[in-house]
Order: sequence, then structure tokens, then C-alpha cells
Amino acid sequence: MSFEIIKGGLMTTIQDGGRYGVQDQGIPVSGFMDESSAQIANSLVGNTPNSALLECCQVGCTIKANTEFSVAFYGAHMELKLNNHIVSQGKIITLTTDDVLSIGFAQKGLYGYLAICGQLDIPKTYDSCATYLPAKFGGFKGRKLEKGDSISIINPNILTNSFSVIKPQSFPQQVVLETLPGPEWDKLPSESQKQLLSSTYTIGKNINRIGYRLEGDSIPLGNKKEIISSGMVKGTMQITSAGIPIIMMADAPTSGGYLRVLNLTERACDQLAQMQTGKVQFCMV
Amino acid sequence: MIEVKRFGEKSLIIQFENIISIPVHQQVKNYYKHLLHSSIDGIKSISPAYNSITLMFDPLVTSFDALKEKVENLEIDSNTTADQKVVEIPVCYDSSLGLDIEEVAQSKNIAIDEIIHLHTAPHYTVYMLGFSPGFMYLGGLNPQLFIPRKKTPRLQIPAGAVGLADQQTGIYPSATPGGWQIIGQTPLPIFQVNEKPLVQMGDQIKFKPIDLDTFHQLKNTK
Repeated sequence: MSFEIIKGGLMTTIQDGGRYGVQDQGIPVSGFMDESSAQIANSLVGNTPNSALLECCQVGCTIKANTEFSVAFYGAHMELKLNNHIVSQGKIITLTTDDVLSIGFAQKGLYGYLAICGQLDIPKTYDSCATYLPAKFGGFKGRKLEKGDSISIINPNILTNSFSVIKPQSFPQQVVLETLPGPEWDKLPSESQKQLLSSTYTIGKNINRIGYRLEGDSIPLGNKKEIISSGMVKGTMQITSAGIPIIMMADAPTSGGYLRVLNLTERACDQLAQMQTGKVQFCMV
Repeated sequence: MIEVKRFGEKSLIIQFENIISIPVHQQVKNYYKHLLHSSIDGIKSISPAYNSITLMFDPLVTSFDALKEKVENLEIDSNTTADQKVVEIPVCYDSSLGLDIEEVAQSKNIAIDEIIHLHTAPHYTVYMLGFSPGFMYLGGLNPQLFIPRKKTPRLQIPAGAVGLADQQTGIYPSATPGGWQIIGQTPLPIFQVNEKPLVQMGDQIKFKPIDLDTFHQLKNTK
């Protein structure tokens, strides 16, 4: 009762709702980059929203079924093929033994989620299945999935009676991200506050599960350029001493020393996670 | 005395006085221990730092306002100084492991033996763990050992490497790139997945010098 990875894709990892209660050991939360898409995929197959699933990044994986089970994919616009026939995201796909499901390149968006009806047989690390690649733990042997890996499903199930169809999301190239003031918002000179909320930033090359470094105008800081190391959470925007905004994402370190000026809402984190390219602005809610 | 601030949609931060000091650390530690043992509904994570504590919460169970009120009304016994654990960490300062110790000795004009003495004498306070799993922010380094980071970071530093950087000393819990001046290495696994952590915030650590043979013996028994 398993499936096999035929192609690993660019960076396919097991993720779930994240790892909590161990941040006092310096262990990041990890988990889904785009939480709402992952939760929709899980819901489509009847799993609880934060169940472990496969997170594909930019180029998806190809799996071969060794038993019968249903899956659903949601998130980035990646071409899905079941035995070479195109199928859609946002609805149940049922695989039988030897079926091959391939998840292609993300035409739009960046992260796509493949939820499997039934529980993946992945050991928990600190009560979570989330993969944390920098320290090589969690998920499948602490690494991304590779050709030849076999993942067991504890209770594979087939959903025959499901008519739920969720339309794919649209991924615009320009997004206004909603934010709340961060702990050091008041430490930013008022001209710099205005500049940050009126500038447009480009999503550059430096984006990953840890954080998104934005390209654009540097923000002048006041006398205070650093803080005594303090906590960070997903969505925290730090401004480096060079004035560059960095937004912390799922694998964010638990602490940092730059000014934390803004905090993205959860919805804004999900929107940002899906941006391979494009431009963003910020507004206060 | 404390300020409770919103920190995104499902976290808050308890801010203490804006300095690094033992009294502030003690206060953070008291709040941290109290919160750990309190059973306030909806708290998912408690993460202490030098002068702040980050709380993550479940917004389906509690809210910022409810939690803020509870935190502000906590009755903390400020005289608690109990459970101060001292953890001894063996370190081999042999130049085959302490890759920069000769350079540090030269640039500081201090004999290697004296570097080892200065580094092993203090009890260091573990102010917090953060940045990466198991990384300790230590206080108490002798100012004679203050030294800038290396101009060019190394691409790979082994797990357990003990280093100096500016006013800090610390141990790399896992193999990573890094710019610290490496003066030794501990054979102890500092961070092991799913194991009880070797040290916690608020503990003290003491480095104990060991020779290369002892290093290899201890390394092999782990």
C-alpha cells in the first residue's frame, strides 16, 4: 500500500501544519508555504486540513501507484497528467495500481500540493511530519523526495462520491499584500514608513522556504539599525542594515537581529509564497 | 515593566527592558518558566530571547486581547533563582580542530595556553537558543578574547566547532558555512533530533579542555 516516486521534481517535500512548542530550542516551525492551498488539497480528499502531503516547488514530481487511492492537487498551475492524459487540479483523481501521475512545471504560481486520501506513513519529528531541509530532519529521511523513494499509505482510500470541485486560483503578477505593524514599526522614521508603504518591490532570485528577499528601493533606517536578537515568525518583514526588506517564510529562523517593521497576514504569506516573479506592494489592514 | 505587543495575526511578543543583562535575563527566564508550566489555553509555542518572549497562539482558541490580558496579569515570583544547571562541555583546543587558534593567539599576542585558560575559566550564561536548532547565545566571554569574524566565511564548519565572533563565543550545533574564528571542537552532539536538549535557556555552561585522544574516545562512544 504505497506509491513510488518516478521523478522527484525540483524540491518535493513532505509538509504539514508545522512543528510547534520547540522554538525555544531554535527549531523553526516549517510546514506548508501556502497554507490555504495545502488545506484545500487536504479537504478535497477528506483529510484534516493540516495533514501531511507532498509540497511541490516549481517543477512537480511524478508518482506511480502500487495500490488504489484517491488524490487531489491544488495550488500552482502545474500541468497534471494521469497516464499521459491531462487532468485538472481542485478535484478528486483516483489512481489504480501502476497508474502514473505526473505534475509538471508551474506556469503560474510556485507551490503545488498533492494530498493523498489516507494517512502517509511518515514518522513524526517533534510531533510533525514537516521536512526541514537545512538541518536534514522531518519528512522523508530529512530530505526532498527522489526517484525510487517509496512512501507507504497507512489507510489508502478511494472517494467515489465526491463532487467537490474547487476552481484554480489566479496568480496576478502584481499583488498588494496586507500587513500589520511589526514590533519595530515605530522605530522606522516616518518618511521611511511612507516610503515602504508606497514603494513597489520585485520578487527576485533570492526566494526560498526560509525567506523572500525583495528587490527595489532601499529603506533608510534611523539611528537604530539592529535590535537585540529577538523572535521571528512567518510573515515577519525585516529590514537589513542595508535597507533591504526580507520577508520570513515557513522555515524562518526562530530569532533575528534586524528591525521587524511589518508582519504579513496569513493570506498575504500565502499570496507571496506563490510568486515566482512579479511585483508587490504593502498596505496596512 | 513589560509591554505586550501584537506580532502578526497569531503571535505576540512580550518585551522587557531594552538591554542585555543578567537581571533582565532572569526576569525573562521567570516569565518563560511560569508560562511553560501555566496551562493557558491556545498557546502553541513559547520562545524566549535576551529581552523578549514570543508566544504563538491558536486564533481558534484564544485571541491577542485575551492573551495579552492573561500575560499582563501573571503573578511572577521575581525571586526565583532555582534550577540553575551547570553543563560541562568538553572541548579539544588542538590546532587540528581549533583551526584558527594559532591565528587568534598571534593577532591577540596571547599564548595558546592562555587563550584556552581564558576561554575555559568562566561560567557562561545561556541567554537563549535561536537562529538555528540548538544554537546557544552565550554571555560572559572575557573581553581579551573579543575578535572580529573571519573576513571570508568558511564554506563548511564541522558540527561541534567552538568559535569566537566579536563579543560572543558559541558552538556550531550542525555543519554549516560560517565566519567564526574556530578555536576548538566538542565531541558532544550539541543538537540531536528528538533528543532532550543538552542545554536550555537559563542554564550555565563551562568548557573543559581535553586532549586529542580524549576527544576521539568521546567522539567514538557517542
